[in-house]
Amino acid sequence: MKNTIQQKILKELEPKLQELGVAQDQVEFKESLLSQGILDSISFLEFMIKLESVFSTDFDFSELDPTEFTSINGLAELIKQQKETPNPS
Amino acid sequence: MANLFGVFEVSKNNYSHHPALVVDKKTYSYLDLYSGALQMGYLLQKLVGDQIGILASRSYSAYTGILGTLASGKTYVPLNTQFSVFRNQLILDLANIKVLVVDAQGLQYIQKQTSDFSDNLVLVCPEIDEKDISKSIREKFKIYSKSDLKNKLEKPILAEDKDIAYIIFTSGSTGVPKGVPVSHRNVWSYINYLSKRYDLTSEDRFSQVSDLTFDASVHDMYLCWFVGATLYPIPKDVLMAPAKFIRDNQLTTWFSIPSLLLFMKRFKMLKANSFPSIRYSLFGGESLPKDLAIAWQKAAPNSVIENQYGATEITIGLSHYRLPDQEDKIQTHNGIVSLGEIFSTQEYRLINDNNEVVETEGEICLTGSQITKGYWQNEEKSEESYFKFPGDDRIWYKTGDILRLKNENLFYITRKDFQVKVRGYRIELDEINLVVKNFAKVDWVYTLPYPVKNGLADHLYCFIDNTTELSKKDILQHLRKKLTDYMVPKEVVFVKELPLNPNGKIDTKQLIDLIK
Repeated sequence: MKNTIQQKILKELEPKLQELGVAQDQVEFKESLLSQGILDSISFLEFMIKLESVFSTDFDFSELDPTEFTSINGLAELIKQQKETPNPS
Repeated sequence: MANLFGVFEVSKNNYSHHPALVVDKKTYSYLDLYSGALQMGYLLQKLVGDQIGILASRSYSAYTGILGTLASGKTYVPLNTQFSVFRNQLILDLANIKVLVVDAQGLQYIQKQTSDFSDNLVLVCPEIDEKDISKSIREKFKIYSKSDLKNKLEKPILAEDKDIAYIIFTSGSTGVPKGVPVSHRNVWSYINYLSKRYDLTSEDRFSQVSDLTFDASVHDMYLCWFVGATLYPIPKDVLMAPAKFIRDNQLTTWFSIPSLLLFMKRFKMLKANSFPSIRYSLFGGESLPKDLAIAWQKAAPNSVIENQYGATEITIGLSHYRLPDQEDKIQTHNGIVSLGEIFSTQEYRLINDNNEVVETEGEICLTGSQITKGYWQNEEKSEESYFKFPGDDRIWYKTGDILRLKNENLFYITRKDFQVKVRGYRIELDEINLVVKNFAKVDWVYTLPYPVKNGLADHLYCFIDNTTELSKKDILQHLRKKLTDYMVPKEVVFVKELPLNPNGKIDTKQLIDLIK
């Protein structure tokens, strides 16, 4: 159960992986999805919109360095953090 | 003297130890970059060919490659690792490029598909050691690595004002990209005009957002270096959420396409007073929706905001609309901010289909020091777009954009042809249609942008005659090989027949219903 968030993210990525002919176990969790050629900057942002609804959270990037969350592990960490931070509004 | 390297040299003399470039967390002074350019120039002037390709991200290698090309009196041609190899190789052939300046990213790109590049290329890698270059690349190409850049030009070889500084290739409806050669004089005219319009100093810090294949990068580099300021290229990954970068580096001038703001707004980066350091914000490359402009103004309350209109052929931009302080005074048409007035140094006319001048609404055509003279080795395309009025010896460029003049301001109305913009990139829909049609061997293919909100297109959808045996995946994979990322449609939809409206025209509404 340790990697639940990672697995969920990977599941959402599945349609894209199929399109590219990449198997799930070929995806490197620690490496950026952009440098792995799985997403480009626009499709990454679109993927973030999808993740927002899957994890019912609202991302706030105003204080973040995006290079820290372009990997699956980075994304999992981001989702954990954003869920813990109470929404100020 | 309007030479771009000359411009850089003047600033080098005035601000030698001031930072010219901060990239990959390293700072390069004017003197550092100047020396790098003279080393690069020494090598490039000895190598064959007048056009030098730049296959690099926004890295030190790219800037030193560009400046070094200009220091050797040659012309630079930006390529892009986001493009397919097919497209990059096509540009290499069209522009007759034998020498490429590459960085780590460019080298990685070549490594992945070495056999697709022609054999006689020379690769110049200013930041890479020879031992780090793979055998397959070393065997195929002539390589100059970091240690080969030792000697320097004693002084730069400055091209004449009328000579070409760069060639940028744009989408062409016949399937072959069109090269736009832009002279030193064209760029100098633009930079000189803006440097007088804005109160810029050597203390300014410029954003560099756009890829080098987009001429907004020319604005960033040369306006910055003209005033002795510092250039901050924003890496591609960081661009997805640039708020922290803007604040950490206290950027003072900003130039991007408006659609970047869409994502910034979506992910809560446009909070009130987020970017107090920004003094000037320019938007160009596509329509600027009023609500986005207002959102940006709140995030950057100390900034003057200007909307620019331009095209590669007329050198970056040549109209501006300055946003007034009061929201309700912002001039718009269909929610899109006005393009304002044409630069006082250039001349424009609105014309009808017979090249006759009309008063209030028509295709805008332009002449003046910023207007290029014609496409690169493409007489047919040049004749379609460049022309002269009877009794007037000047060359005018027809943009294909229909504009309206109202209260002394210009407003964007529509395109005359099938060119659309996705995220600032010009796309000829026929270029896509042609590739699909040839591959799938079908009677018709129709591509359209959707959804289009406030003049900004999100995606392309490709409708195709269902007689083909190819799958959606086959077609998309082929397009990825032949075209660039942003030209590849989001979906391919098979349709039995093309729906027509009662006038016999293609009924785009019915097509859109299929993808909703």
